[in-house]
Amino acid sequence: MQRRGTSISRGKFLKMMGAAGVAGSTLSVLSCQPNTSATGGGGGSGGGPEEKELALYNWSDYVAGSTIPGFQKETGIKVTQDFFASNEDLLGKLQAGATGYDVIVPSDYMVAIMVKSDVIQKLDKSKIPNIKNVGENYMGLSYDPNNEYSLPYQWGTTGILYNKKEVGKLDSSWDAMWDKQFEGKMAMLADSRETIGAALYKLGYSVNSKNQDQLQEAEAELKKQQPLLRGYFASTEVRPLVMNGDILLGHVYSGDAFLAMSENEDLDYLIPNPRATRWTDNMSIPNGAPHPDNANKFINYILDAKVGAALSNYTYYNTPNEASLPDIDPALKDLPGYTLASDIFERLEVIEDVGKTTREYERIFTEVKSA
Amino acid sequence: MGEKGRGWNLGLAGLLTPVTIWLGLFFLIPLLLILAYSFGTSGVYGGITLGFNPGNYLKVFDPLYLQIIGRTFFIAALTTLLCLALGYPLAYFIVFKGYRRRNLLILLVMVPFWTSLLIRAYSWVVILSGNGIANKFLQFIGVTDEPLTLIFTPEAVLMGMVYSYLPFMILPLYASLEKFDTRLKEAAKDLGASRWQTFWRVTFPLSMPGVIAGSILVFIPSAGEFVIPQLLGGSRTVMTGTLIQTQFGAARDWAFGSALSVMLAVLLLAAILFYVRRVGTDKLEGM
Amino acid sequence: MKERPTAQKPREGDQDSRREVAVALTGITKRFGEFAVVDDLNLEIWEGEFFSLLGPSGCGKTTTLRMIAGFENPTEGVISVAGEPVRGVPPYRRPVNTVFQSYAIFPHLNVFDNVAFGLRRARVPKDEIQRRVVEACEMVQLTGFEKRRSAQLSGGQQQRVALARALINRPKVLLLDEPLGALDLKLRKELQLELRNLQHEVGITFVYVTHDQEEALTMSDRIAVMNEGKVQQIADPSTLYELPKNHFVANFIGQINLFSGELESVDGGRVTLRSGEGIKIEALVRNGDTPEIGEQVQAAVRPEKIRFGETGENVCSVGVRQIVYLGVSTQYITEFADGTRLVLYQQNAHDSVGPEVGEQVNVSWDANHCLILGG
Repeated sequence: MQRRGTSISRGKFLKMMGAAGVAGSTLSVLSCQPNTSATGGGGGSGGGPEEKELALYNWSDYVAGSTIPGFQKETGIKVTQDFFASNEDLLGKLQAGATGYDVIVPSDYMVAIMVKSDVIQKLDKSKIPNIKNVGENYMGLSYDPNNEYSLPYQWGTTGILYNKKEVGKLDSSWDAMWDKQFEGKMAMLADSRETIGAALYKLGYSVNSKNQDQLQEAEAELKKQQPLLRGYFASTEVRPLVMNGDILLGHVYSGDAFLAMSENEDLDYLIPNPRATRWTDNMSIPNGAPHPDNANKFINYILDAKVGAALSNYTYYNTPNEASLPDIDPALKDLPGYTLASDIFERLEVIEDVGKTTREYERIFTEVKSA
Repeated sequence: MGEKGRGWNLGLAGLLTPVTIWLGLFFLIPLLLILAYSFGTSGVYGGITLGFNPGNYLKVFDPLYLQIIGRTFFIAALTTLLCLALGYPLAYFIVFKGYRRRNLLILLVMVPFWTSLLIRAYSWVVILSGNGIANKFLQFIGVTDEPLTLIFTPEAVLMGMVYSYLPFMILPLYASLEKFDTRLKEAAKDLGASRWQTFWRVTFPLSMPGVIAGSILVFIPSAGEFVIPQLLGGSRTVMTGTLIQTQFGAARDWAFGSALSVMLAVLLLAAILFYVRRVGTDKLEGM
Repeated sequence: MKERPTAQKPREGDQDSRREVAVALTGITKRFGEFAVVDDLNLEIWEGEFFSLLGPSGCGKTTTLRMIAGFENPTEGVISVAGEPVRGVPPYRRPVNTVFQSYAIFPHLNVFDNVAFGLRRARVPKDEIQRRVVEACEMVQLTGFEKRRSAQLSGGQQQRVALARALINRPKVLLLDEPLGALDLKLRKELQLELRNLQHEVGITFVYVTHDQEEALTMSDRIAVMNEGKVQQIADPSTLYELPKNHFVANFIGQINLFSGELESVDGGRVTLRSGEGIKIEALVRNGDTPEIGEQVQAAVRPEKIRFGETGENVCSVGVRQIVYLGVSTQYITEFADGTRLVLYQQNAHDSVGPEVGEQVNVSWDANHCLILGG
């Protein structure tokens, strides 16, 4: 699953080029060499004072301009950044024995996989007092019930970005994405879990279904939908398509929707009923991290109210940091679907790892795409 | 003489050592690794247990995957054919009509290589999109009122592949035609062959090394392509490359991905051997 | 040099009006840019003759051949082959075939397919092709080589393939562009004779381009000597040799001794001039030339026409400077008192002992071996 990965998404032209950036990062999926550009020094594990260094392994374009300089200024710790393109890419590298990273940013379901495959270590919460800033909606989620291994970095939803001026206000169901009148004017995410998930939601099932019958129903739904679509794209690719008017409805992550809406008033974002996905990216510390103390410090720093606000104002995603809310850009806060009533969380599902059924999902998605 | 010969051999060995090591490290070992992986068992959470598990290969025979492999070869063959059809006249023109501008023209053929394939592929998205240059132009000249669907179609994928790999066809053709002795053309004409016959009976057969090299250079990367179907096909033209990428990515099934890779390589090798045998020794003269 | 059956002195312009014209070039000029490679060329090549275009490189002979073949178009003038003007007719529709300088054997085809190439283009039936190719290979002594490719053939064999490949089409005219140029001397001599015999056998008009005067004299019925895009003289070999029209022809074909001087007397075809060396020389005038007394002219005499002694109309005294033994003959390089050179050949037929280097001797030659050259 790849959620972000635009290395250049700001500025009009660069926004268009974002899709190229996505595909560029997919290229690296096949390269499984451990990346050791962030040097693992001695220091950390021995218990003595750590070097003033930290290696952050993150999605590209996923920190605000002030984030890292602020941390360096505050702590004197020098941060080096390296980027991954998908959760599987990140997992593959850690499994292949890549060391040298201190903080990684896996998504929800991946945290569970990493705990099970024993590639991340427990956090030292005594060094993260800002944990108090995290809202209760973002703590204790199924993938890490006691937040022993992870704390949330950013979160968002997956829904429909659409041109309100052209199609009118949509009712709140997923049905619009199967509506023949929008034939050739729709796009779904090139992500098996999200897109099969949309079909499962539409059918009233859980996004984490392992039930063969339900999955087959979903497959049938998607095969009906496929001919109506322009195609399956990364969220960053869907955004310009909707903005340009190439398509009218696009399945996107909320950050891309907010970015598009902040530039085009005709657009609207829908989190459909009955259910939709909420996702969370988290901060974790891999096993063998050379600077675990610094890592805990960095996590604490991110959970600071001002730092968290600056981060979300830059990424257009939501912050799990309730102390940050007063500093979130009001224009962003007012966008539909950004500030959510707390009862909406009841109908938002978190994508969980489905174990062996993952391959069934991929096979279904391949079959749907090539139908 | 013997001494000298030995010295030369030692010198050659010295020269070849780095490339042998390089090929061994970055070509042979990864290849063997993929082969070993293809018989392993993928863990549920990624990773791989080595062993002997032919199941990965049996999985390839799923009709869904066979269909994708078949489509891949069809698209790659079509790409190769189109590259040949477009590239041959161009190479021919540059060699025989380019005169002193030959070098400049062949340089222009290579210019696209100076930019990343991704940027170039994405520039097609910009050109072919609903309000892109292509549609604006078509509307301007009155071919259509509504923007046409030019992008995210199988045709767009094919076009993107032909565009991307055309230079791989032109360069060997150029190299091959450049060596061509133009007196042979005169000889053919002198012996009663029209321009057309001269081309098919003399020029084309003699450029066969270039045709074969170009075809192989286009066919192999085309068959492994996975970026262009994503970017220009809206992921709906699923090719083997895409499938392999998925196995190493979201499906976390490296063993199956490796088996697919090995199958693709074996099929490619078979296809190329077949092609070289058929075309390479086929006497075009003889009827 | 080939022995001619004519006992008499060859006559100038040996026109034979009974013969058909195979190739006619009328007022042909070929310019590349400003430069005229061929300049107002007029030629008639007769059917069945072995005709050579002879001249130094750059004289326009190959360009002339290429214009007949159709690879170049004349800037001005008309070319006719077998009585038909061929302007605008592409090479593949002209009733001519070419043997190229470097043979241009198709490397992707074996000998059989090379030789059969023209017949296949003409859609000759398969069994006839088979028969004629075997025949043609036999004719050029390539039987047994049918399956070989050009890379497996020697230069001489390639030349034969080129010949068979062209002749098999039974062209009205066969054009040969220095076909023996790349071969070694011995092979060249052999093939010269073979080529000549072959031409007699098949009776096809051969137009042969060469820069080798000896080759041209050996093989040709008639020769056009060319220089700087212009024809200098067209004649049979002995006429060219014995009666060269001008200085260029005299010098290009064989060796010649020249004397410049003023005409003292003219008596029909017989003249006397006083050369710069102060020698009085009696000489012949070519048919049709009418020189006048007092005119500055050149008299030419071939080295082998000069002999030691005083038994000719023209006698003079020279000093021997160098003696070169050539096997068949011996070459003596001698000098007049003023340093002007005179070269003579003596057959090594007798045991007679010639003069030594440094000796002063008398040499002589007959007036009818001495010719006044035109402009």
